[in-house]
Amino acid sequence: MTEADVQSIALFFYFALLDDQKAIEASSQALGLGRARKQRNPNLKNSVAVVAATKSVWDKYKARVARGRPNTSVESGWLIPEGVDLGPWREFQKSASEDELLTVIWSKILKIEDDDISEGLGITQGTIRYRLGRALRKLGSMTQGVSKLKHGSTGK
Amino acid sequence: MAQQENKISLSKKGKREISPFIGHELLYDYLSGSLDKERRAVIEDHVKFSRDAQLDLAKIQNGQNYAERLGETIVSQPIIAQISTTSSYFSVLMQKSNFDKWPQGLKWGLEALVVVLGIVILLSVTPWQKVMQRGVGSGSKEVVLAEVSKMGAGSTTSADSEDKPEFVDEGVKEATKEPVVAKAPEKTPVPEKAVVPTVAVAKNEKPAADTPSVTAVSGGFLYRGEIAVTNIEVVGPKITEKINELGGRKAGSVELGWKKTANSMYYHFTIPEAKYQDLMSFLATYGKPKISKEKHPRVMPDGIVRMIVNVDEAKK
Repeated sequence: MTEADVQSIALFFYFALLDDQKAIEASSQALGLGRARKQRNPNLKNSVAVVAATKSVWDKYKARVARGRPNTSVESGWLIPEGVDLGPWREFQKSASEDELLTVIWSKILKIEDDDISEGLGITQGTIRYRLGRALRKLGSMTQGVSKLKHGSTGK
Repeated sequence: MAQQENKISLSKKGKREISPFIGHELLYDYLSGSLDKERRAVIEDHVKFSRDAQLDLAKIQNGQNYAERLGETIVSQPIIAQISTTSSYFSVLMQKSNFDKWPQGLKWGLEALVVVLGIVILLSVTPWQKVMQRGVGSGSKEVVLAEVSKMGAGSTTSADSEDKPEFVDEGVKEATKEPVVAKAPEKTPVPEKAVVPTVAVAKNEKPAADTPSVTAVSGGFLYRGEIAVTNIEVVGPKITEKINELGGRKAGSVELGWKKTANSMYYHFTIPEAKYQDLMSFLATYGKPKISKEKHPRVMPDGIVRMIVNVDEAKK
């Protein structure tokens, strides 16, 4: 597993859990799991191993984390790009279904190919695309630009 | 048949149009470019005439842009390092066993068990024999009681046995079997045979029970040798003086530098092992010392050697 993979795992849990400390804990576990998978099957693509490992650890953590109650701080070492507001993401993390949340993170934030995601999860690419469509629509509606457009166009 | 055909809504070109639902669901595929030409054209038409589809498309685009911006988040190196290092076997074990969730009592019990096990292993592995020996041998003032076997009924009393000298001359020791030897040692030609009255001489010496060497039975060494010097009358006292200076101590019953014959002197003494080489160097200035190391049942304390050296007048 390369440093880029470690970064991907860390980002996954940061955005999925919105909790600095738990993200580090979970990332550490997922990294161990991913390495073990790679050891068992050296031909496994890193991105597939990342998807499978993060999903497996997420399943353990999801019950422990109260979604909608983020526990992040600015000085914690996660450098959000300048000008990006985490508010819409917090809303999305709170209201989106688990499938939608994870698929957006894998596909759009970590930029993992759809076929790698489907291989890692053992589901079809069609399902991935369907989830992405729904999730992005939801996320888009939470960003300010879309809200303005909607309000402006409907005249509300 | 005609009625059925009327129910299917066909476009002007005779093509079947997609429903708003399908068009809605295919928006992401349209945006990601995974549709074929025909489908893409149909979706484009759908978006053109449907306000809802336009809004949905904008939402999806915005959502995608926003998520991609989030993807530019950088994880700092300390966090990367923390993630990479904490996945040790122990931490994984702790995490897998959900140690944090265990009841407090169970945790304490387990920790106590580990500590007790550690102590038991340490105690059982430690070579106590060596530790004790080291403690005794390192110049401690402990008194080691020795069992003294009484040779011959009535011939030696318990007081006699306590008065034995610390290091008895080998020759003298052998000769103690002969009862008549308390004469002046000068007159006896051979010190090995010359028996000095052990009681009389040993009165000035430490009792045997004071030293651990007496208790030892085998495994010791004795340095035995001789040296031929010129003018023994002058050199002899110098050797005696040097031995004393180096911390040597008389052993056996005769005094250091006992004049065995007119041309021979007898030295039976103990000396710190560290000074052995100095003594040899000193002796070498007067002649060629021939010293051999012999096995001897008496074990000396650590760092002390016992020597018997005959100093003879060199033959001209």
